[in-house]
Amino acid sequence: MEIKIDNSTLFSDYNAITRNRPYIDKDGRAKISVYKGGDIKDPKSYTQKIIDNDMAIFTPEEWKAIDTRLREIATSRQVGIAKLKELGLVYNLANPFASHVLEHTKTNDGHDAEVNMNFKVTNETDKQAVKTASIPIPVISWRWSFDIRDLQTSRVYNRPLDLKGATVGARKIGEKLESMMFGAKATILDDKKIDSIISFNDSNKIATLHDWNAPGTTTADILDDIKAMKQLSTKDKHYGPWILFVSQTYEGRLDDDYGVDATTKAYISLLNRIKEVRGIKDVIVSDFLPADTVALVQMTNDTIELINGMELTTVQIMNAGGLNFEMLSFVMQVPAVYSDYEGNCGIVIGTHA
Amino acid sequence: MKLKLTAKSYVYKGKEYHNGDVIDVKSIEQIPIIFRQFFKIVEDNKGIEDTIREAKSDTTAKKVTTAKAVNKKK
Repeated sequence: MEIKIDNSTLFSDYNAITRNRPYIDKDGRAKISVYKGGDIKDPKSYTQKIIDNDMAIFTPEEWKAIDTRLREIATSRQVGIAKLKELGLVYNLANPFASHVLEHTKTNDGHDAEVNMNFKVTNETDKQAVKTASIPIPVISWRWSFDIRDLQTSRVYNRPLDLKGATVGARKIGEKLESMMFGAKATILDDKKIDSIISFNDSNKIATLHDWNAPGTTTADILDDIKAMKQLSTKDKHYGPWILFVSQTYEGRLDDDYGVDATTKAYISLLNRIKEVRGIKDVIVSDFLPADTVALVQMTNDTIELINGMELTTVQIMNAGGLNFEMLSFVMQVPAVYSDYEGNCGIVIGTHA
Repeated sequence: MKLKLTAKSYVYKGKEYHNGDVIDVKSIEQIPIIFRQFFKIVEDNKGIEDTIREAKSDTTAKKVTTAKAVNKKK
């Protein structure tokens, strides 16, 4: 007998999620949404399925409030991840549930482009060297519980949902993702490794910067450090645009006066002077970078991007007698850093010895 | 001590080192903490000192033996 498998039922990621997000509909009945195909963001692509009444506790509006609030909190602790999103450096996975890793290729430069007056090209036809690499796609989660009394209090007194447990989790999820990007060490998951910009083997490392907080270090010295870092990036065939990420220990120096503007006679801060370095688009302070560390990162998708399987989402995983509800908030995302076939990379990490 | 670079590149004291290069430092403290993960110790100062100490004690032991031998002869 031929077994027919309906792809939209078995393999759609949104199916797995919506099944665990039961809601109380306007008619008072408990339902779940079932994806039936088409645009996953279009509500018309879903059909409603009635389930047991004691399975659902939230209305669709309350689910929306949970998602919105938790995403706001997670984002509030992110500067690097937020910047990747702002610049569109996001690679969306079609179905994150179906892949543990994302494979990508590293290519070399190959030969120079040909210049001829006709199409009789007889020159080099060498094939680009290619090798594959992979990036693990983790699930970053936080389990929390929700009590029926909190829910009733919210409804009877028309108060917002009390999401204390969840908000802590959302913050921690946001922080974990940020530390994956800026932390000193790689994240190890069994035999898989997620590199931060620092632990990435191919990022350029410079240990001869000035100690920006040392009394003798001038703003001119700091500017020289940044120029040296930029030079390392261009030497590695990465020509910007960059963002300079600075650890919190150096934040105070950015407000120092660099000099006086010749025309306006106004003081120029070191922060503004750095932004005037050609190619440096912004300077961002991150409290996830190790102390006394600066990172110059080319903000293009051949250097860094966010692999996005799923934004922060919450599901209801257990119902304890209709009195207490176990919830799970999670993201399926990872910041990915890249280099080319030869190891050229647009990331420069600097500190003082 | 001698450290072998395992990362792609490392700029230290105005010189750029590449994967596999060996850097001579007085102690690991000269390498910033965040970069220590990119080095493999190929020759440890402590190891050298121990070797020297062992060599010295061997010489002392031989001298003692020599004195005993002389005494026996007497």
